[in-house]
Amino acid sequence: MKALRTMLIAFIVLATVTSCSSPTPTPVVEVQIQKETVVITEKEEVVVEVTPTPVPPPDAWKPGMPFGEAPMLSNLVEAGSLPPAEERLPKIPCVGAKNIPSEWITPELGNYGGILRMADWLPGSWGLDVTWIYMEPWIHTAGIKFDSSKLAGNVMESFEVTPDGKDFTFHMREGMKWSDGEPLTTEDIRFWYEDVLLNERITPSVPAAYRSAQSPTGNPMKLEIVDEYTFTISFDEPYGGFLALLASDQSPTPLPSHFLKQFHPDYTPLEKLEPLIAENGFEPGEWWRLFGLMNNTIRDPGKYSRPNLSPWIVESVTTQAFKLVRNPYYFKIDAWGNQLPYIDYIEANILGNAEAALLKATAGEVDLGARMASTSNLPVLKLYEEKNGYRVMPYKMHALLAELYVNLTNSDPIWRQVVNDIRFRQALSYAIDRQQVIDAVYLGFAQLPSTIPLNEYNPDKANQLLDEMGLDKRDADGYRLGPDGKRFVIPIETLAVEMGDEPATAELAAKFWEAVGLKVTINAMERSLFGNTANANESHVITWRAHYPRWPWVSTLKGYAGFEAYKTYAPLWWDWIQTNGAEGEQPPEEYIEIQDMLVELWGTPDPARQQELWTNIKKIVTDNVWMIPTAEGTPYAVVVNANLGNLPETLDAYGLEVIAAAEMLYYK
Amino acid sequence: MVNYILRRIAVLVVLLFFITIIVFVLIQLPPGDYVTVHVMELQAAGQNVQEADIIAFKQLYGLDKTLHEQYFIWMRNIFIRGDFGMSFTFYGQGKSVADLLAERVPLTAAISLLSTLFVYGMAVPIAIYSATHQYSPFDYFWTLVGFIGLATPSFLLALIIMWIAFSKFNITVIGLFSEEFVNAPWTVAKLNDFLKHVWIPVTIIGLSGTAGTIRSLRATLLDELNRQYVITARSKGLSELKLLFKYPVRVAINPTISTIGWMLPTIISGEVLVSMVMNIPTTGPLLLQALLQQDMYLAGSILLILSALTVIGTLLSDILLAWWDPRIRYD
Repeated sequence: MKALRTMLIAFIVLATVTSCSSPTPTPVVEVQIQKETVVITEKEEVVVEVTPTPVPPPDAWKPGMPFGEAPMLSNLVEAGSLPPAEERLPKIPCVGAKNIPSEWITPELGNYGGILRMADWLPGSWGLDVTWIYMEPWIHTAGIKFDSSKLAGNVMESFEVTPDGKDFTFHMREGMKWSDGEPLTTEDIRFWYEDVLLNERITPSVPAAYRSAQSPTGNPMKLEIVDEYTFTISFDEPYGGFLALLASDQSPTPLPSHFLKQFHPDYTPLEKLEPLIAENGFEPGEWWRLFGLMNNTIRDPGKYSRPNLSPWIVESVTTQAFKLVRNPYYFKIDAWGNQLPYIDYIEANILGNAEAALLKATAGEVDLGARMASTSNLPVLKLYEEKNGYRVMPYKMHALLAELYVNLTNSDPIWRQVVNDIRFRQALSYAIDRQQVIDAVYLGFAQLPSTIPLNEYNPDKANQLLDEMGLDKRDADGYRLGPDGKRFVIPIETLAVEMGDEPATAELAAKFWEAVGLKVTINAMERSLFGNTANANESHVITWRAHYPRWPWVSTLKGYAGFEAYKTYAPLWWDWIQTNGAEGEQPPEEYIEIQDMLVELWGTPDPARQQELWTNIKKIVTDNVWMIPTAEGTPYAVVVNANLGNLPETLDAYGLEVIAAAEMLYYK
Repeated sequence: MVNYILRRIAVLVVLLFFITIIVFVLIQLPPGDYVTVHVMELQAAGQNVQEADIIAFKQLYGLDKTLHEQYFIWMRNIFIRGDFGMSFTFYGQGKSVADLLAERVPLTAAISLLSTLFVYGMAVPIAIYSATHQYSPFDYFWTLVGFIGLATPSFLLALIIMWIAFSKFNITVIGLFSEEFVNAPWTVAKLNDFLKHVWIPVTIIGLSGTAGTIRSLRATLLDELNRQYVITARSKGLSELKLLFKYPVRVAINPTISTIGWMLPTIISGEVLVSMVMNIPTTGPLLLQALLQQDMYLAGSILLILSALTVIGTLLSDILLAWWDPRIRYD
């Protein structure tokens, strides 16, 4: 496996070298073969402006009609150990997976049964793919990008927003149940708000997400319970982006208050909790640690099983595998009134490493999985596709993994002086041949960057800019000298073991920059060291994420503004903004401007104004070359069992959303 | 003898105390703590983690306490309750260090013991035969195999075997169980499934050990075979087989016995690289992950147990050797 991959990498590198060393790029035969094995269908650019209303099937379920259920459940109902479907489902269930737009797929009627085998290698977790399946946000937006015109209820049946963007009223689904059969009501919302969010032991300070306009200094939300199924959340300032929060993976999940009250000292006296606290190895009085343990959704069910709202619930856990079984109280049905999910079990294997997961996938032992299907693994996955009964679907990726961010606030004075000259950053951008990055790193499955439209390849201009700014002297090896008269070196910090896009992009960038006389070194790091380096302002140029399709609607993923899980291009400016000037270093005007615009963007309820602000932010980032994009629209391949139904055939679908809607999948 | 053992045990206790401190400090040395790593993982997975969450995580994992408090609690719980504490990584699953070890150690020990049996079962007869039939085709063949076994890293061998199994026979030889048995309780069917899987890692892990043992046993035995006492015994008319096993083999096996105690920690630690490559749930990969993630109680406890076993193993080895070889003195 390793050998084959190494060969492939060597091969791609070779292909790259060949294609760029020849002055007129003649098509290299091998490269064509490579591509042909990968391409599945020609992509078409479809611009959808109006949401087509899905046509319900003629025999569609309507409120009041009976529900269908899985045979494994009807057996239990007959045996009397489970109430009938009418008592388990809400009066008005959620019909289908609302995160899947109708342009992607019209769901078919599925069959019940089967096991969905999955694989991951993140220790202690049940895998990132399962995490997405498990998630049930309050509301859904169709497609990956938040769009206020495409919202639908999910856990919540419906909602209303006042025109000023301050009050949000939610209607819950009457009769909806937790996986243990207890009703989900506003009491669960109240418990989440009063006893968890406002409890300083559990939540030391209310996260910005629940403060007006997501400003760290804004006032926390207020909750008003109207009746058993209706509640209102209000902010003292407009917070139009609150819906974006609720429609994403950042959405809060209602907490099973009937279960968690057993571990909360406001409801159960602390003396009663002490034995349990000690049993779990905590110090006397540390009830919040016990509470945190019990509130964990992936816990081994054992004695205290935490109720959930997810399509599948945990049946057994070891360090090597999770077995999940269907939630008999799941609140979604298909268009014909059959309770979802279709598939009975999920078997999530947690393997020792990525290669083991890849091997499992190539052997056809993974029914749904994206993590092992990185772009560099596509050729080997395609090789065994037909033989081993799976399909590789190169859907779209929710992020680009390896954009280049130059650290503008690194403490090295020479470095600062050079990179803070905008001509230097422009030169770095002009020096990159992005088409080559797309061909070599993404096997042609990507487009030129358009969100931050820095995509011109012009090495002459790059050389000219570098000469103009004073980097015109060179040493004996032809490398440019810095202002101190020594060779100017650009260290690129990249990730060693990730999806594989990062080191490949770093190597190409190094090649392009060396071509304009800049010395580049590459430092491939382990993930936590990489993160520490970036956050500690010790990075130089990093390869890191840009979640283009989800921008600007994820508050922790905004690399354009200096933070995308790690600090990106100017850690000290970011610190300055976060601490209100107490730490870090005073940023330039434009930077403060985009941070202010971001606050307004999250605040305003007006979609037109949101759009205008986002356009302005993008323009400032582009004009200042605060990041150097390399590509956009990269693939996120998903390995699927060839017999799985209800998978979008269009490759415009986002892989993440397809996985998140696994309750719709069935075996043909 | 008793005096000797008691003296060794006293030193051992002091040694272990220092080991606990060194282990604890070493794990804390890298910048940041588990929360740093965990938050990065969550964020990289696209999840929303804010400053407030970080403080909450620290409280949850008890990392808001000072270092010496953390050390004290860890030590106290080990001594009073035999509780090695919680694993941060597997906290979500509600698994303590003891639960994790209970899951992994038996499998690790099974593999280690099986591969040790494999090593001695293969190596001792081959080495004796090779030494007594020096420069025969059989000796040459096993010399060649021995050198290949020594020179090939076992993880590479694992990769090659996995590749051949996959490309020629379309089977994936990873893990110790078929999927349906991974989380199942032990039954005859599961044991059967385990035996079907286990021989490949056992062979791979055992191969380099076999090669090494063959070489060293053969060499020492060759030295002994030409000694005066062997010639004397032979001249007295002792049967060749009895002579061989009564005298030179007994002497030649000495180095092997004196290192048997070192096996004790390896039985628990498991082979890391092969386990990683072949996805075998031993303690080796668990320790590696724990160190990478700064899961300090898990890493610390495993290291502590391994150190204790190393020290005890050395003691056992000494005692065993003293019993086996009357020439050893107790000073």
